[in-house]
Amino acid sequence: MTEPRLTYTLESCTHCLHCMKICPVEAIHLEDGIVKIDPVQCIDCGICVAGCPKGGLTVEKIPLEKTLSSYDYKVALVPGSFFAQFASLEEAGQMLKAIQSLGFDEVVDYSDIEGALYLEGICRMEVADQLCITSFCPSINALIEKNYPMLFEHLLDLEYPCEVAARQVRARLEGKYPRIGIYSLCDCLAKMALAKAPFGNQASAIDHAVAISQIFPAANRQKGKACFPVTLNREGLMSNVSDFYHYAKKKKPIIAVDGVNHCIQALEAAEFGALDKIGLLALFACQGGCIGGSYLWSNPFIGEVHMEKLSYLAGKHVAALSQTEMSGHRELAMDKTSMPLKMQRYRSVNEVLEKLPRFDCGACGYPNCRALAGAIVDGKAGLHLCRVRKEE
Amino acid sequence: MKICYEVQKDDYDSAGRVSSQIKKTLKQMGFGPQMIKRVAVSSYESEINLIIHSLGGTLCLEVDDEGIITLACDDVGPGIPNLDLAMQPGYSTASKKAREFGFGAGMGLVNMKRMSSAFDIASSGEGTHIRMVFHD
Repeated sequence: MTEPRLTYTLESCTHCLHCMKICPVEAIHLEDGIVKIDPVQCIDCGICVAGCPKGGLTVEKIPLEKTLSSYDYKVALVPGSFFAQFASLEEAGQMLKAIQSLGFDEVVDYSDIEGALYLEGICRMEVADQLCITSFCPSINALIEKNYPMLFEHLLDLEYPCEVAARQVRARLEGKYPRIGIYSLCDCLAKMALAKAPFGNQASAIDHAVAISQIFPAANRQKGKACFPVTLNREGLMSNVSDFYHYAKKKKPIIAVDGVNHCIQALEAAEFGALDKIGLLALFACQGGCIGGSYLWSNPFIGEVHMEKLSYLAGKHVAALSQTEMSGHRELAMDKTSMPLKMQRYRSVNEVLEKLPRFDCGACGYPNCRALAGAIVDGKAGLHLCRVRKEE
Repeated sequence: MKICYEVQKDDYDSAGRVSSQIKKTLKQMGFGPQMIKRVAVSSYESEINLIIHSLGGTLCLEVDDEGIITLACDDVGPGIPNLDLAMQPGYSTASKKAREFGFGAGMGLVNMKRMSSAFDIASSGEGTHIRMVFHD
């Protein structure tokens, strides 16, 4: 999955470099006046998309109608965070009915699967002899794999709830219809990358990822008195809110952290063993947890109020899943370059860095002087890009 | 390639700052997670020792062209009275203040020895000198 997922609308860019400065993983630089996002470094957190003052960064979205006609049976999967937008079960049920009327045969709420995976994480933490890290956030998992590989062995290998839900639906319908289309409604950018389309994760059981914000206006217009019976699971709802993550009964302490930069602080501390007395570290890239996903129409503050209210009305039935169904498989990419070669590059970068002012002003189009020095060593940039040096 | 950092005595506010820098440098160099973990833990223990036990000193990271890492921790006193005792797991002479901060579990030197490929320590009233080498 190294294809660029974010696209860039050139017309509105004023080269303010704001996206480059706020990117938490230094994945952005400006090259010949064009914003370049390094697909290897990017973790799809969406901070640049939300932060661009001109709305210049976006994610490719495929019109729903174009794809629906190619299937005989269409299923929409709805995440628990979706319900943060509603003050009552009735309103949520009306919205599910409205979504169905957009062209789906079935709308599936999988909070029972989210709940089962949440409880499984807590069970595994209780028997583990080290700090466990749990995240159903693709951005955070990518962040750990790319920048905190030391903590990879602490990461619970639980599958994403939407993926488990998609596999279940497919298994149930297989053979009944020739062409089954499974759509995952996404609360954030990162989860878009989990599906087959639009970003080509062929291993997924999900055919299409659809941003909730993309279908919300159309569904809202369709919304009427007709209501879908909603049977939510309490644990599933809770697992979408960082403030409620400690909700389940447990013997060891749980820390839930939200926001990419806060998560980075927690991971830095964990790398030194400073969180070893904690049982479980639950991480969310979005503010407030998944209820802070940018594709939801509500904000995370009111979303949390809604989720608390709905949790009292929700049931306690979680999905019965086997260990195999719950386990995901993640592998750490290994860099095969030999250490002497890496040291040689490091020395070359340092030599170039000596010539740079080290103000990290970013005016060259790279997030800091070291990044520019790296690009110069790789032959992708020249010393002339440094504007401070020119003045001397 | 050698970088040295100064660590002040009783500077609890900056505890961990030097070892964070060392960890960051090793990541920039491209070391694998296991190696970084070994050096990061050892540098953190060294840094804390300098703060809570010493009168101040330096922590130096040296990496040669082959990628062999040396950590050198040198202070200006007061020295460790009984090295054999200090190397025993759980033995600690940390002050009440250090313990209030959660330090002083008596595992510092033990962890440093366990994490390094070679570990040398010499101590007198003039200061303590530790040299740790890390390779695969």
